[in-house]
Amino acid sequence: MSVQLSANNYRTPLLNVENLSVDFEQNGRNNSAAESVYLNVHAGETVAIVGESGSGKSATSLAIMGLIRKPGVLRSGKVKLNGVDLLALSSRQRRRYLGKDISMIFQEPTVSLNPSFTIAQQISEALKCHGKMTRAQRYSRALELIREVGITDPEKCLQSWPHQLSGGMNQRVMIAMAISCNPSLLIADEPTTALDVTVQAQILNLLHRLQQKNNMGMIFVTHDLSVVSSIAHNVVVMYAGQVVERCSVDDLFQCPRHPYTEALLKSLPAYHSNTNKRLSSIKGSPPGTVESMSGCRFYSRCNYAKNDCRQSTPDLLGEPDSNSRAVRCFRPLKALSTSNDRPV
Amino acid sequence: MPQLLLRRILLVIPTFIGIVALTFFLIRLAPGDPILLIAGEHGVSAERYAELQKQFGFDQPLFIQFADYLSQVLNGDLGLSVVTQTPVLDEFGKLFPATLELALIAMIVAIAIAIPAGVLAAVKRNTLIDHSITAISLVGYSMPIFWWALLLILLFSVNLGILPVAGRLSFIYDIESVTGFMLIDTLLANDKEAFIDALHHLTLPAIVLATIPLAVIMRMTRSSMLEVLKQDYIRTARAKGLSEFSVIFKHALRNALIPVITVIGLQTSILMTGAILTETIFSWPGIGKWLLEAVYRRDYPVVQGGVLLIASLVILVNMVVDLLYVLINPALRQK
Ligand SMILES: Nc1ncnc2c1ncn2[C@@H]1O[C@H](COP(=O)(O)OP(=O)(O)O)[C@@H](O)[C@H]1O
Ligand SMILES: [Mg+2]
Repeated sequence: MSVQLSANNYRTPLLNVENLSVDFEQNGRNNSAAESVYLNVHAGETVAIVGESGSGKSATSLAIMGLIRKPGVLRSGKVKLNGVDLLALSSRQRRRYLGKDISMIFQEPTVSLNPSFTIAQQISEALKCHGKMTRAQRYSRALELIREVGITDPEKCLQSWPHQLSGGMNQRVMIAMAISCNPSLLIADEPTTALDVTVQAQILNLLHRLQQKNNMGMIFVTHDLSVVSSIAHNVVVMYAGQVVERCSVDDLFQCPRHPYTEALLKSLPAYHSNTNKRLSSIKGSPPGTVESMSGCRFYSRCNYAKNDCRQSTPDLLGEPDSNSRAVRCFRPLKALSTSNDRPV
Repeated sequence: MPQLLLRRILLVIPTFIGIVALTFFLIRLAPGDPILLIAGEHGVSAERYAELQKQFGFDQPLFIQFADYLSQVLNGDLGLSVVTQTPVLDEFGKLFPATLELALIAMIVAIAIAIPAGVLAAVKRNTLIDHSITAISLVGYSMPIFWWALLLILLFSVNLGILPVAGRLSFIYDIESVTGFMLIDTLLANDKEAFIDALHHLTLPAIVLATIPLAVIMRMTRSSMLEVLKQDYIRTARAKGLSEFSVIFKHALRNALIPVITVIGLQTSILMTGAILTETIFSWPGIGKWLLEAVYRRDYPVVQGGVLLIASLVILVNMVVDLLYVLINPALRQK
């Protein structure tokens, strides 16, 4: 995998996100939900975005789709999919890409499907929107998709309404709908969080299999580090709207650089099974608003914080246009090579 | 689903008997004697009075009168009008099309304006458009019907002189009553001018009658749309790349209409009350005016029969609405 990764670094990425910032306007104030996010995804690669709830993962994902709506505001950013900046397009032009080249699935599958339409209608609609198929062709394609996502009685499923299916089934339907036009990029925003554990594993396997088979790029959003190792190649760690660390999945588990990443790992049961230490949750909670914060946003919860951490804000240091390591900390846990340090 | 329907139908029976009892006793609680009212200023001799009392059955104890009336109603006979001596059902049948025409047109106007306006207000939330629509709806809702009607008459009939104030059709036209709906009858008679004239007559009463349902349906549509637009499946629809039109009118409105349909049903029932007032103001020859006159004359059989028929209509409308509600709500349809 690491061979493939280093090769990836020299290819132009499928998705290139630059300087993406999203604010939420509340009571006349701007609350930053995502600030200057950079990330790349290559074909066939899965990038995980991890972070506690509220760290801006969904805001980032929705902004990539151009789906930020009031009270959210897109402040800045470029989202280049195969070189086309989606955010520079009018919403009418962008619609041609949504659901076709770039698709998204969501955290709550059952409420993400329209209760007033059958599964067949909802899948068929996605096909109708982006292609010229007859009704019969759409139906057989829908059947094929439903089979593809591992639903045993496809005909029955197509005739069902969302409320008749389980959460896991609905998430499979969402996946079928998302891949219906063979997208090159799939964004999965916590797709298994609302499901029970056995179903979680099945959905992860399904996503992994589809991603490999279709050589899709995937952004996998989760707050649960334990699922990251099985699915992701690269990881972006977010904290309070900022990317604080970016690395390969192996590096994440073997040598986290940011104190926040380390703290996340320490709260994982599996991480401790071999080290025999006590499980620790991260003390405190993320800052509610970051509008008037100076210094490092993790300062108050950091075990290694020094005075200067509060005074000036650390930059994300690393290679800007690749998925190589980068960390936003004055004292990374293990020194980065300084040869190509520059702010991102 | 058939069970649901059966239960609804069975529930109608006690409601029906309740209404019969209520109208029967209420109208008799009101002071005034129908026989004396018919006799008018000349009065009536004691013998003639007793004779008439016997003829109408008013000499029996109230309880017996009620039992008689109930069995009569259950046999489908609503009795004769004390004043005109024609069967109540016949009078109702003759006048009802006028009311139905007015009510239908008013409801169609209300729905046709209220739903798009409500959707627009929700989509343009917190803009000038939204605030204006909400304000208009509030004014419409709180406007006394009588005053509103007079205002419109003053403007369109008195000052501008473009719309008539009373009746369904000008006297110069003689249209044969086939369906009882003036708009349809004039068309059947192939008389374009009469049709336009009927439309003119219908305009003001329909506007007046439509005002409150319009305001209520609009508000409901707006709030229901706002609720639906927040839902995750709307985001999914957008993520699919659907046009904004499709997102709003297909994915959102379909769900937002569920509570709106209930409100439309309720408003249709309330419309009957409005119709009585509106018909009185505009001398519209419908059952509203007929009923009101019957109350003035203490024409017991007409009041009882009329109210009963209107109530049955309301019950019917509500049943249709319930059915519709289930039909557009897949989660309920399965049960
Ligand atoms: N609809 C909204 N209105 C106001 N603030 C919001 C809204 N959605 C998200 N936010 C804020 O944006 C920040 C990031 O949220 P989000 O991207 O949903 O986090 P995550 O997906 O990582 O849990 C949070 O501080 C949250 O309070
Ligand atoms: Mg989220």
